[in-house]
Amino acid sequence: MALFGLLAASTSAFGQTVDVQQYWNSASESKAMNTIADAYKARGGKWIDSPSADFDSAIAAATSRIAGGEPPSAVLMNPNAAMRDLASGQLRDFDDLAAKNGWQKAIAPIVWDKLNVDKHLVGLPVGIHADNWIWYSKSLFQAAGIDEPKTLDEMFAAADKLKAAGHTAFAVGGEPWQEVSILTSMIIALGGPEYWNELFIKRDPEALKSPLLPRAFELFRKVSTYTDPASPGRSWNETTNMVVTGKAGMQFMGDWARGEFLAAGQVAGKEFGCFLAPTDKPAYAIVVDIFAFPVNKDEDRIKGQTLLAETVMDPAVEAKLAAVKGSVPSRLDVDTSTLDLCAAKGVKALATPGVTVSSTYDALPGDLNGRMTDLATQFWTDPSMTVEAGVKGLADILQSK
Amino acid sequence: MTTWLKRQGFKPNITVAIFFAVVAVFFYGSILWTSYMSLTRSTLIPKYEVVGLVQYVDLFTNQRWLVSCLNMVIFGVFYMVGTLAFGILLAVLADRRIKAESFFRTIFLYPLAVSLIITGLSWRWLLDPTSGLQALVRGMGWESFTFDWLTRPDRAIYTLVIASIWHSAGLVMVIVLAGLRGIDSDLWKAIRMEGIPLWRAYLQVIFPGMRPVIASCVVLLMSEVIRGYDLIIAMTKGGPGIATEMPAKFAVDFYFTRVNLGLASAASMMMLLLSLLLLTPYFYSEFRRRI
Repeated sequence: MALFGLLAASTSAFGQTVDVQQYWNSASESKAMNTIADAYKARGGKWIDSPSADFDSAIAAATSRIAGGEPPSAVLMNPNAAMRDLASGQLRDFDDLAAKNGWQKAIAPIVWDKLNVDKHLVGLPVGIHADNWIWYSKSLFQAAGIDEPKTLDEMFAAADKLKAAGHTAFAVGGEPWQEVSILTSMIIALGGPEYWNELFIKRDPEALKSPLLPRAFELFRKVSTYTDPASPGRSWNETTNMVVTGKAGMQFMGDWARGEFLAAGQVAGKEFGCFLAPTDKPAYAIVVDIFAFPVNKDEDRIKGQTLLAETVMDPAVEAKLAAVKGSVPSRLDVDTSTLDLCAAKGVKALATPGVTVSSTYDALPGDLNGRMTDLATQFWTDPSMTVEAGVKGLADILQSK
Repeated sequence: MTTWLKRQGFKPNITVAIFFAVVAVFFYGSILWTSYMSLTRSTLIPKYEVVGLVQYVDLFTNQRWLVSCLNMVIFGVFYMVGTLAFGILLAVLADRRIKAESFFRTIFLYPLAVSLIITGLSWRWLLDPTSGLQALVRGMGWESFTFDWLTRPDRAIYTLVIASIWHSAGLVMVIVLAGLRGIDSDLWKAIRMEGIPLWRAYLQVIFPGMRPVIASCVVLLMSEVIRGYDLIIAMTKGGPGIATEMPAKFAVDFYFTRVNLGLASAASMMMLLLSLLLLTPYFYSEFRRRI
């Protein structure tokens, strides 16, 4: 017993431990997590992995662990309502480290604002994704004689050609969160960044009356007519795999999908292509992956958090991670010249003023994003639900708080 | 044994008191705390300012909650009727002193030993239209065969019913069989002497005498319905869309992933209320008469 005590004391004297609650399980995601873990271990830290099956269960596990007094030292999440909630006393802030290392200057203002709650830095960015991407199979497009669509009409024309050729035109994983992002992609394609901000950020009642919304719901339903029967319940990476293997033509998915193409050894512009939801008002709806650090009391774990924070913010680690994960580095000073065609599109969109907006995942307060997801999945699976009912449902949700 | 206990100064009343104290704190205490939370605007972290019945109003304007409740009724009715009918039928067949009775009993009881998660996953694979039963039958040459209930929003709930009946029928069989074995053999002699047909004997003589046994089954099954969660998670995750959502899943989702403690607590209170509403009359009529 005494021996055990001694051992425990000796490891805690030298150890820097992190217990990381995370959900990165697909091929590209686990490579990305290993990139961080390896860099962290190389700096002498001890890494405890606490994986969950998906985003929802990771957040569920983290919140119940925090509530139960056994908090993880880091949680992989988004700067969303849950983070803002936790920020009231449950999360460690990194104001001192940020000031010392000049992090604010290295991060784009729109991202920096998301990471701060009441002027305290409570989330550290791992990478920047965007939600309104569409991925396609070059070989299927070439075989059907289709060029990369520049308008929504062209996109649906392409879908018709793919369908006529006997392929699944749109690969969709029938999970609520995958479905709602098709709806939001339609809204952002039709409305552009300005309308997006009025609808989802300001939640202006006038924006809800726009004829854009019924049109977005119609197009959302139209996409559902191109899917395959095995769609319900399929995970996003299995679905991306349909495009990778040439079983399906296109997929609406955030650019974490790019990581899956890369993990399968494919090259952007050669085997697969990408475009943002076609529009004449370019927009880029970003989703930021972050680590949040619940308050821990153990000295060893606090040191571990500091070490992980420095690891995550290391430009070299960020660059390496972006290359496998499909994201764009969250630091502006990371060399992006080596990233591929699709990442370059993302970098360009991020650098263009007025194009970047916050995705609904991060922007909506409380459980509004969840309720919108419930509505979207209901509309998607129930063809008898009218467009008017869909728009009204969305209006009720956005005006409820 | 008694003398040994006596020597230890064993005090049953103290043990019982401790037990009740534990129940009071952890069970009724939790209920009280949940009902308190349901009156607040708590999100992830409890807030203690009471705002009235806002969360309940929210709950009953939430489409997903209403669908969940309706699903529970549909699932509950089909599951309970199906499981009871199937379980009782199996018990009667086993009671007819068939050959290899214990072999069949084991087979039908076996699903109960399988966790609901495994049950759900297995049935999902079996019913998946592109790789399961449908694909198999089509592969054997029956091209038009269609059984895609799992992916049809209006039918998916019945696939949960099928899987649950498979899981629970054995339990009902064993309980009812035990009840049947307890029937006085004189009763059977009388039935045989009167020349009553077998089906009438069961329906009008044997089963009415076994009401407490069947009541126990009903209570067991009902609790399965109300706390139904694992099977849904493994089999449909509430989908397609929100077609197979249930109240327990609603509460868990809103507690943790939707970080809305207030609304989830309100949902939990409604589930408690529902359980009481459903079970009280039953307990009252079935168990009071025996006292």
